[in-house]
Amino acid sequence: MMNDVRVSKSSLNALVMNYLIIEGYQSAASKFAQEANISSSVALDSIEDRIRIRAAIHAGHIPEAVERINDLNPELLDTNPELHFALLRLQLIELIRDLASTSNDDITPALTFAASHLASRAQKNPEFLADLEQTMALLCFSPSNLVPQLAELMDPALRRQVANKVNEAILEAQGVMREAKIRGLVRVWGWADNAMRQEIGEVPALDLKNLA
Amino acid sequence: MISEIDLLPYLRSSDRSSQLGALRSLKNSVIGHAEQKEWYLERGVLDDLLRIINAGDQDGIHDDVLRECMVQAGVVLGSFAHSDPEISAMLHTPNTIATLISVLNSSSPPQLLLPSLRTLTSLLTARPPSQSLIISYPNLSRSITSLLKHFSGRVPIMGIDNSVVTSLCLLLPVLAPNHSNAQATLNDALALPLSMLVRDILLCTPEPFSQADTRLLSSAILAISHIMSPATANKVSQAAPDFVRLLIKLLRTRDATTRLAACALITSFYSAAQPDVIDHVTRVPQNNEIAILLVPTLMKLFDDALAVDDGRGCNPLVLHTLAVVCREGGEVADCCVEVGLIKKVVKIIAQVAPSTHSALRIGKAESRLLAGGLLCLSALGLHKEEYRKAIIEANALTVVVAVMSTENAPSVREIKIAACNVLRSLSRSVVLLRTSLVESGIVDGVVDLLGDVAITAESEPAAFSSSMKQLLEAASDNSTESAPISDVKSVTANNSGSDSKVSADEIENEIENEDSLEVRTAAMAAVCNLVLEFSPLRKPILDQGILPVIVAGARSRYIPLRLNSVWALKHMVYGDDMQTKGLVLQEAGFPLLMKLCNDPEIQVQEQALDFIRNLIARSDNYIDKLFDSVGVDTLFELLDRKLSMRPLNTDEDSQSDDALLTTEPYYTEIVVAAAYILVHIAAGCDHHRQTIISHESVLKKVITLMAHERDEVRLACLWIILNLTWIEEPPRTNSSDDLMMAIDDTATGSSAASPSSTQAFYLDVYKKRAFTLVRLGVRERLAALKNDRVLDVREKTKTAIYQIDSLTGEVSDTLDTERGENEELGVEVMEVDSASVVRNAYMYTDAPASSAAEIE
Repeated sequence: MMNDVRVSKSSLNALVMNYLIIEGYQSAASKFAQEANISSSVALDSIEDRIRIRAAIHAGHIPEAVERINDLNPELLDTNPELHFALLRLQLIELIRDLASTSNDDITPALTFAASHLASRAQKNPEFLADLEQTMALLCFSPSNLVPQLAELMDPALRRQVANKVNEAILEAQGVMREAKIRGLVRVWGWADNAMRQEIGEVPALDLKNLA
Repeated sequence: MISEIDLLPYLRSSDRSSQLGALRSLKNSVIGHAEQKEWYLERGVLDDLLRIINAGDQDGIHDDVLRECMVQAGVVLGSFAHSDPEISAMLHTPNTIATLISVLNSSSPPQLLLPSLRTLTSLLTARPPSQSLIISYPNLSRSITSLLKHFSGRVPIMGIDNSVVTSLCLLLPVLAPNHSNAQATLNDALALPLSMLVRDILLCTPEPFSQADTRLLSSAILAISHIMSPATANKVSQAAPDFVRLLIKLLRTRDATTRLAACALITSFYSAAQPDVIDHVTRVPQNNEIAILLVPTLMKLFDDALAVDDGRGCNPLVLHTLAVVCREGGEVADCCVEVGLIKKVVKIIAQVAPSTHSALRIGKAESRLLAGGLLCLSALGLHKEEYRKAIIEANALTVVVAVMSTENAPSVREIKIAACNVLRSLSRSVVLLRTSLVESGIVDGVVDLLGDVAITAESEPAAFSSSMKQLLEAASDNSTESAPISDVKSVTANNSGSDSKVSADEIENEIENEDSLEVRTAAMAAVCNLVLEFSPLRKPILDQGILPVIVAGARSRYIPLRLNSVWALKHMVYGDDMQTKGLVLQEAGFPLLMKLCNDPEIQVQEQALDFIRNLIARSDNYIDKLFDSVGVDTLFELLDRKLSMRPLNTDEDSQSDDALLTTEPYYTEIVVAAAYILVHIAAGCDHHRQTIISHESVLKKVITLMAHERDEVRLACLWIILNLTWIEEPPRTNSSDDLMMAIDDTATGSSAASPSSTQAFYLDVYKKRAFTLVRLGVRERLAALKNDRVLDVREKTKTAIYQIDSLTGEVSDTLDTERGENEELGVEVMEVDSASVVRNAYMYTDAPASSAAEIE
């Protein structure tokens, strides 16, 4: 049945290229672009910048990430206060993590940072306030003994989440879709799969994990 | 990280490398941090940044470090522009603007251009300059053109080039405020290349567009629609006949802003086509066809906006475009009303209308939305009584009254203009004029808007009396020279920009005052119908001493205001109210009228001629006044010229009779207006008629024009013939009549003529007139009109033939059955007709309908 559907070579190429660019596979993307003879509206060098930014956030080096973001797109943080807040809060969490790891009791650096960069923002936005309060609670408990809500903040997953947000925001500002098109297709597939299962009963299973 | 306080000395250092380091640190500490921005600006960092950006001029930008310093300084400046209004207001200095403009050339790196363009756009949006930068910086338009060329050389436009072109397009609308010379300048330089760029992108990019291309397309299309002039629209259509078709395809694109932009540009394309289309018959259906395509797209955008927050966030351009689409009426307007446009618009504007009298409470976005909504209503109200009623029933008048009674401030200018337009539309309804509008209490609001003029006029009494003297001289000059005939297109396309005789100073004044002039113009348009004889508001308005203000408007150098003011004056002298006629004439005076009859703007001429037509209708007294004040010869020389009025460029064969028989739009109206002045003179006393007969060159033209292609012209000429050959019993004369004295002399020596001999004498005079007309060829023309395609023309032709035949003793074949009946019957028939002569020739014109498109 699938063989009846004709997909043009250029559409497939575009789909692959789109995935490579958005997911940040720079060398693969430039090779592929050469071989398939396609041009992209996104400068390929910016892929590398995005990878470095992502790496910096994954490693918890937030000031470095911010500097790189400002080099790549100086407007991004000015025009996207939520994103900036997320980064600053992550920076605060990293400060707290450092304090905990050095078993230093002086929490002044974290307090100063929160007061000078986060407090005024939280005043203007109730959501920011709630997030900030929760983060400040980290200072009161030992890192080894946190309630699940606070443990989430210390989890590296938060870094990945913020890194993803940053990646999407950069892509959007560059005029590219936030998400690889193929992911949308996979979701459509999943939906169709489900619908068919309910109607017909017997369909070959689709496992998302195998694709992602 | 260098501590914040330490950065300033490094910034001011002469060592470029440490300067660069400081700039980078500064950038990272201010982006996203409002307090830091304020802190640095208060310490004068702005001057340092501008000095660095300007350094390129002296050192050249071959130095890489300096180049990077300039880029970083531009980026920091851009970040400052992205902050709270109080902070970014600190950037708004003449030096900042001048520096940013100096950056705009193709030798600047794109990384510097991008923040500079964005900063400039946000500064100008926040605080529009009193004069467009295009005028203050004569080279700016050329720089923009070369930037566009440089960055859009190859399609598809990629990466940062794409962003630069997009930012350039976003800057254009703020550089050129509406109806300005700046707009015309940019249009000349950019409309065509930008259109070609959009076309290239559309032709070589498959849908779906990337977000970058979508942004580029929507901003470019919006920029084009903002600066496009009718002449350029035609140029673009010629250069790329497929352009509009490509835009129509965009109506279904995914991005809403692009759809809206396409609607706006298509609208300016087809409304641009109007002044140049000669064939009146094909014009409207063609427009409808395109306009009707836009309705579903526009209404969908409108409905989507209404669904979100009751439409408060609606893009005002949706409403502005709908207003233009509906302006022509017809099927398009019907469709829009059918899907509830009136109610939806009123729903939105009722929310954003000012609730108190203070203008301060209306935000910028809200005021544009309100203005757009009001313009929609005024466009719909132009055409159908039904819609006017619907507008009143939807309770729109409360909003209009609320707007009109808001105190005057620049921020409400646009809304007030729109409200005046609604009033003008609604006042076309005689019923509403006598009911809802009377109760609404709008008089004070309208008069208040015009009142500004009164103050200005009084503050310069000396200037006024001297200008009065000039007018008198000018009027007498004009009467001896050939008429200054203008090229309409140049006037309508570009109000004052191309007029080389106007000094730079005057242009500057005009621009400064353009804002308030626009408001006065709109108010004057609203006044037009309110001062008609049957309007209950006429007296309250006149009681406020508005007449001198209207006359002052008729002297304005601003064409739309002059046009509407003359229009209002014309409406005031319409009707039988001789007292008002007298007042108006006293205030305006014949010298001004004669000057207006020879105005460079052809539509003003039309109104001035119509003023004379209304003034002398059914009033021998005013015909005499006209003759005495202007002089019979001057008047007939004027009429002679107007009857053969044509654009300058078709002058070559104006000598031949055939050339008279076709005229372009606007020029036809002039011919008709002049002809009806003759109709009224011919309906006057006997000596008035005799004056016409004695001006044979005018008569010859009238007879030639009986074969004109337009039936209005043929009909007007027939009326002249009818009135000239109508036997009036008893003859209307006055005591000082030349003819009367002639009778005294000739009537066999007796001191007073006997009634019968008088009658016989007049019959002779009538016969002589008829023979004069026959000698000039009227019979041949009438014979040709017997088979005219217009019924009214055929009927009047029969009567005219009958009248001429009975005077010249010829046998009439048209009224065969009536021939041989006694004279009384003939007279009776003609008396019935004569009544309708007066009725028909009586001039009534609706509000400035044809000019509405030009004014808005």
